[in-house]
Amino acid sequence: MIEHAVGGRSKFLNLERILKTVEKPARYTGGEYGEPALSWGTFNYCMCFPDVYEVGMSNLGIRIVSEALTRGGATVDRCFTPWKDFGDKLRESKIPLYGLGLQRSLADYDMLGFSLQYELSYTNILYMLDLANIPLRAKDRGEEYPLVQCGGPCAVNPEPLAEFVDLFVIGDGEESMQVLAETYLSLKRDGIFSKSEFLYRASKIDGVYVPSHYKVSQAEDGKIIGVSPAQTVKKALCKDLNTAVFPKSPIVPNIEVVHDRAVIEVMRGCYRGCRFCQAGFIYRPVRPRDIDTLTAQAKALVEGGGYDELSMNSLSTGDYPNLRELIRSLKAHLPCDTHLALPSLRVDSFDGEFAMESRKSSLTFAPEAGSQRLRDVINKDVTEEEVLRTAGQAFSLGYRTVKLYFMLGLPTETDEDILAIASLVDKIRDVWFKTPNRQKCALNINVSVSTFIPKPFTPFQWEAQASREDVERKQELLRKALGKKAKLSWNDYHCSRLEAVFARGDRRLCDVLETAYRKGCIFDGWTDLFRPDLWWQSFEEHGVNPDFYTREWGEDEILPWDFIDVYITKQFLQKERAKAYRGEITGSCQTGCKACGVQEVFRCKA
Amino acid sequence: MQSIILFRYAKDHGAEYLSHLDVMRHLQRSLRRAGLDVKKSEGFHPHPLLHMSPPGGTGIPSVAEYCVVELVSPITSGEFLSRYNAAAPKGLQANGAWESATRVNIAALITAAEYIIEGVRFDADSVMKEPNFIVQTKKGSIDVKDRIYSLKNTDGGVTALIAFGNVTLRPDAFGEALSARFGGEATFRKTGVYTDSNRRAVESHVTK
Repeated sequence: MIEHAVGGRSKFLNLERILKTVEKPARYTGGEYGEPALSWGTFNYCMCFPDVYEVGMSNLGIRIVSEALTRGGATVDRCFTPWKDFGDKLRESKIPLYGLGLQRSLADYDMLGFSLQYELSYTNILYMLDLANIPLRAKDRGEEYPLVQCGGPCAVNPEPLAEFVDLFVIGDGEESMQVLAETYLSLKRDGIFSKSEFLYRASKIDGVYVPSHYKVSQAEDGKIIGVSPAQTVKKALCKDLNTAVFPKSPIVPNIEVVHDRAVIEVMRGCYRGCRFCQAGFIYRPVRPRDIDTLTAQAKALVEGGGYDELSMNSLSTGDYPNLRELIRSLKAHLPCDTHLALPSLRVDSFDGEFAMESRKSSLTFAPEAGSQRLRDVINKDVTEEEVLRTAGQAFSLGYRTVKLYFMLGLPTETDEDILAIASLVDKIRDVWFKTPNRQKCALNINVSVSTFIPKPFTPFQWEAQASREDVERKQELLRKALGKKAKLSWNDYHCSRLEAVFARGDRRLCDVLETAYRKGCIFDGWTDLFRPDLWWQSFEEHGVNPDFYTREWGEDEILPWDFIDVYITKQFLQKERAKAYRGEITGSCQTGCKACGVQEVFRCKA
Repeated sequence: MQSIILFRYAKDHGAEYLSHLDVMRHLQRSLRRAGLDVKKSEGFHPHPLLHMSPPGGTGIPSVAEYCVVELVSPITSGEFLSRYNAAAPKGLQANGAWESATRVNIAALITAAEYIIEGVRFDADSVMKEPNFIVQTKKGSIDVKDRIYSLKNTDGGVTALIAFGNVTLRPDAFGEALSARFGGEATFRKTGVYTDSNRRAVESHVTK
C-alpha cells in the first residue's frame, strides 16, 4: 500500500473513477507497505504475473528474481493480470496496463518478465501485452517495444510460447537474472545496445534460451525432424542458496492474498523422485538452506512485515535434514506467538510434535494412488500402515477432517486401483471409530482426484493421457464406491486435457494460443472463465489435433524440450519408466545416489 | 498494567481503496511491527482486541477514522503515536491518540460524519430548507432528509454533516442523488466523525 498516491497523482485520467467501480480496487493501486521506492532508470524491468494480484503477491519466486535484478542494477516494477472488470474498464478508458510502482504503461519498460507457474495462465500473458497495446509476436516488436522474457517452472518446455517471447531464462533466477541485468546495462553503457546484440550476448548466459536463434523442422504429422543449431540450453543452477539473493524485507500486500504470511524456502528440490512429479526432477539437486540463514531470513520477514505466521516452504519440508533443530531455532528467535506452518509434510514425517504446532483441525494426505501396487509404480513410498497410524495419532490430537489427494489415469492403472481408494477411506473410518479419545462429532473425509498429466522431464514424459471415456468412467466408478462415506471432488476433463497439451506442446501451439485469446479466452485456470468450446475450435481452425499431444510418445522421438538440459539424463528417465512398469520403487535420494545425472555437476549431500 | 488507547488515523494515499477488513489487517500488522502487544480475546480462536469506527465507503479518502486498542503494557499516547506511525503504512498514519481508563465503545457512539463534497454545485441552504431529500437505494426510493444534519457552501464545495453509524446515509447514494439533480459528479472526502449532530468529538468520551 500506499507509498504512491493513485488518487490525484496518477497521470492516467479517470483511473480514480474506474477504481471506484471495480472489485477489490486495491489490487491496482500499488504502494504496498515495504515496496521499495522506484525511479525510472536505464534498465526498467516490469515483473509481470499472469494471474491476479492475490496469487502473484503470494509468489516467493518473483520476489527472489526481482531482488536479483535489482542487485544487477535494474529498476524492478510489478504488474499482475487485471481481473476482467478492470481490464474492460482500462480498454474503455484507453488507459494502458501499467506497472504498479511507477504507474507507467507496460509498453514503456525495457523488459517485461512473465512468470510461468502453470500452463493455463498462458492466455493471460497475451492479455497483458494486449492491454498495453504491445504486439503479441516477438517479430512484430521493434526496438521501441519492450523485450519479453519468461521464466519459472513451465519454462522447461518453452516451445508453446516461442513466437511471443524474446528470451526465456530456465532454471534458478538468483544468479542468471543478475547477470542478465548486468549484460543489458553494459551494452547501454557502451552505447552499442540493440535487441539483437543483447539477445546474442544473453544467449551465452546459463539458462537463457532465445527461440529466434533456433529453427525447428516438423514433419507433416507434427513430429519433430530436426532442431538447429544442435546446441543445448543448460538450466541455470544456483549452487549455494545460503549466499544467494533473498528478499531482505517483505512487501505487505494491500489486500488479503492466497498465502497471506511470511514465507521462507527451507530447501529447493526434493529427494523423493515421484515419477509423475515434474517439480521433483526439474528442481534437482536438493539444496537445503542452513538453519542460521533461514532463521535470519524468517526474522527479517516476520518482524518487518508484522506477520503472525511463517510458512516453511519446500516440496517436502518433512525431509529437511534437521527439521527439529530448525523449528527450535525459529521459535527461539521469532515473537513467541508466531505460528509456524509446515505445508508439504509427508505422511511418514508427521508426528505429534509438529501437529501441535498447527491450529488446523484438518489433516492432508497425498497418497496419489489407492493401491500399494500403483504407489510402487509411481515411486510414492507411502504405505497404508503409515497413513492409518498417522490418522490415528491425529484423531487423538483432535483432528476431525481428512483430505486425501489422488490421481486418476496413471500408467498401468486398473479398476482395482480405483476401488482401493474407497477401501482406504473405509480403513480410515475404522481407525476413527477405534480411537477412544476422538472428538465427539462426525468425521469428514474429502477425497480429491485430479487427472494425471504427463509432464516433461519426468519418467512419465512419454505416457499417454487417459481418454475422456476412461477418466469419466473411473470417476463414476469411484463415486459409486465411495457413496456417502466421503466427499468427492475431481478436475474438469477439458481443463486437464488442455494443460496436458500445453505441457508437452510445440511451436504449432503459438497460433492456437493466439486464436484462443482473440476469441476471448483468458484466466483459463479459473473454472468460471474457462471456455473449452473456444479452445477446441481454435485447435480445429489451425488443423492442430490435441490428441497428437496427449498420445503416447515414442522414446525414440525428438521431444519439443529435448534441447533443454535440466541435468537429468534421458537414460535415467527411461530406466525409471521401465522400473515403473515392473512395479519397482527407486526410493529417496537419502538412501543413496540414484545417478539421475545431477551428480555430474553437483555434490549432493543426502 | 494494561492500557487502552483511542487513536484517530487517516485513510488516503491509496488506502481509501482498502476494504474495512483489509484496513483491520493493516492496523494489526502495523501494531505488531511497532512492537505494541495487543491483548487477545479468550477462547478457541483468540483475536486481537481492536475496535474500529464503522466502515465508510471504499474510495473515500478520510482524515478521521478511529480505533480503540487494548494493549498488554502501559504506554503514553505520545509514545503510542510515534511508535505506531513509524510502523504504519503511509496511507494509514495516525493524527491523534488518547489514553482511556475504560474501553470507549466507538461503534455505538459514532452517529455523524462530516464530508467535503466536490464536483457538484448547488445551493446548500435551499436544499436544507426542502422538506424531503430522496435517494435511490436497492430497496427503492427513500426520504433521508432526517439523516442530513447540515449543509454549507464553502470555497469550491459543500461541507455536509450526515448520519453515520447504526443509522447511515451512504455517501455514494447521497452523491448519486446530488449528481442526478444538479449535474456533475460528486466526490467525497471525510473530514470528521462525531458522536452527535453538534459535532461532539469522539475523544471527549475517554475516561481518566
